[in-house]
Amino acid sequence: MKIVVCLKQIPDPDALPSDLVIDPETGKPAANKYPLTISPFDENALEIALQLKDKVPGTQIVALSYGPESAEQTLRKALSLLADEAVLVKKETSKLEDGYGVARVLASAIRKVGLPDLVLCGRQAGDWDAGVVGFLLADELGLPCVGFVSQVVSADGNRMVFKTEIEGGWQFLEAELPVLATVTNDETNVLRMAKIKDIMMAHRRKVSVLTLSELGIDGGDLERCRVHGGLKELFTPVSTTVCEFIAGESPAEKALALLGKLREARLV
Amino acid sequence: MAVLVFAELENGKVGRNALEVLGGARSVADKLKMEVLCCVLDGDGGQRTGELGQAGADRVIVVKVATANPSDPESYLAALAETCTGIRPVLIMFAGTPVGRQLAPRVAHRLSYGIVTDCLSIRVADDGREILLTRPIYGGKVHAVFAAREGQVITVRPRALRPLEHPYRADPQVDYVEATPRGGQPRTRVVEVHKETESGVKLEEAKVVVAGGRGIGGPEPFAMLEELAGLLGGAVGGSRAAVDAGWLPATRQIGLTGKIVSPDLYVAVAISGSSQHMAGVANSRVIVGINIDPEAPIFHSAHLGVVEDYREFVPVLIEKIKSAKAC
Ligand SMILES: Cc1cc2nc3c(=O)[nH]c(=O)nc-3n(C[C@H](O)[C@H](O)[C@H](O)COP(=O)(O)OP(=O)(O)OC[C@H]3O[C@@H](n4cnc5c(N)ncnc54)[C@H](O)[C@@H]3O)c2cc1C
Repeated sequence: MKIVVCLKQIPDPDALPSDLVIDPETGKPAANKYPLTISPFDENALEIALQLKDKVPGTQIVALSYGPESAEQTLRKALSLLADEAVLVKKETSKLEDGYGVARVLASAIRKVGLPDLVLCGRQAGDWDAGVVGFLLADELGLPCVGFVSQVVSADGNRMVFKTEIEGGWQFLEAELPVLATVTNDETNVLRMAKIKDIMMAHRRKVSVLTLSELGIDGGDLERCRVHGGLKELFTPVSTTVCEFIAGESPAEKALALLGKLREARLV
Repeated sequence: MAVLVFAELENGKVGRNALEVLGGARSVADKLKMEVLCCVLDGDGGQRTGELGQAGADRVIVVKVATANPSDPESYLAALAETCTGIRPVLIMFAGTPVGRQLAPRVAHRLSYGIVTDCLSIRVADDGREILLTRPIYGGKVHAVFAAREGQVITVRPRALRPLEHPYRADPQVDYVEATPRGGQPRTRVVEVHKETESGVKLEEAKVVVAGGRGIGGPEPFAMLEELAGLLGGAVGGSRAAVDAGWLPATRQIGLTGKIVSPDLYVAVAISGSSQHMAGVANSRVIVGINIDPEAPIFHSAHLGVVEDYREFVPVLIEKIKSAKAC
């Protein structure tokens, strides 16, 4: 079985809100002080791929990223976890591109490396939180799509059964391969840690680099198809909430004081 | 020219999500002097056309697809996209549910429309010509405002828009569309559906929610939170960290990518208060934060703060509530 996992490098989503100013041109924090990391749901997708590799002999994992040179770190992390191949499509502009453009680039790259049995994406990236690329990519590739997958329950031959999140519960859904799945988190798909020796080895392994022109894509075209053309304004919402700290000498005193407050507000 | 809403039913009924999206669509359409069309799947949908009219639809389009399964968007996406192509609405709206989030980008792709997800507000600009969409980015730390394109698809965050206060009309025009069957077998199939069996109060509807985070430290202490929630008539949820640790099922995650709750009282226990978590509790009337760290970000969002080790504080709180109840 062959699996392509799409990985995006993003500024650390735990960044403090107080000094996060986003540059509307690049879509990234204006100050370059946030560490870069793999988008969390892409980590969950990678873990699902690794679990399949553990179970199904002969599984090949290709880690794919569209991003600037720094995204190579993201791919090295995938290699250190024993992905078989890493492909970086080099982003040639620092400008913000919309999901349509990204999906087109990923689709071309996937065709170039060979259509796999399974394409995995995170349900949404932890920077712009749009959650559209996976679904657009399925359409670009003409694949059926299964959204909000938390586990692969079984994989045999040309079918897979997924556990997926639905409103008010979950379901088991069977899909014919090839298929694209977008991944959400649960306790079974937290990304494993790499072994020190594999981290060392990963530094020596190859990350293939593809340019847009090698994929037959005109970078200017990508900028023109921007939905973000409609972006008018970015602002930081300000909270007016002032926290009233409950005073007291002991937990018991504080508990009584809190109960008093809640009773006043008719909440208990 | 029209605004189109895809109404997803909840257990066969017109639920809060559909009411909110139709309410929002109605107010935008009124300003633009347009009609609201509402697409539903046949089956339960065909039975609910009157309610959809009351919720704000001028016309209901019942889409019949022989193989449709409501929780598998793949099974009716093509029929829905074709219906939309025939109408070319200026705006197509979905609720931000798993189904809506899957359909919206793909319908947009098939119609070459713009796509903006997770909208918190939709308003018509003062000149009456542009529709402005506000959505959070970076986990809600920043908000972005987009001008809708000529053809635009959006998803709306649950609890962001209001249902209509008064019934709109009881007898919307109803049209039926039969999807042309396609060659070949469907490529996906629902094997089994599990609805959460929540003993007691449903998280989304609870008036009181008690939530635990990474600082809880293990699965056992959640029994304590259950007891507290029980005494207050509420439900228990948690942060993503608690879910990832396996202390709570994923269906109990609250936040940007979990459930959106809107209780009167939200008690966050050993939760740091990340923007992604707080995105799910923004509509709570009173937020209480219980955290050992006085600098924890939760105290930027909480109305009432308790700086304590929860292991000491929560048992005492439970005891005090019990003794207050006893007298
Ligand atoms: C795209 C994206 C989507 C996300 N979606 C969600 C989501 O839907 N929901 C969600 O919750 N998160 C979500 N997250 C994750 C989020 O960013 C945080 O990582 C997460 O909410 C942290 O959980 P936490 O507060 O439980 O843990 P932590 O941040 O580790 O906080 C633990 C807190 O417990 C306190 N504590 C420790 N011990 C005690 C004690 N004994 N008594 C009292 N307090 C104690 C600590 O002081 C600390 O403040 C998302 C992230 C991304 C990038």
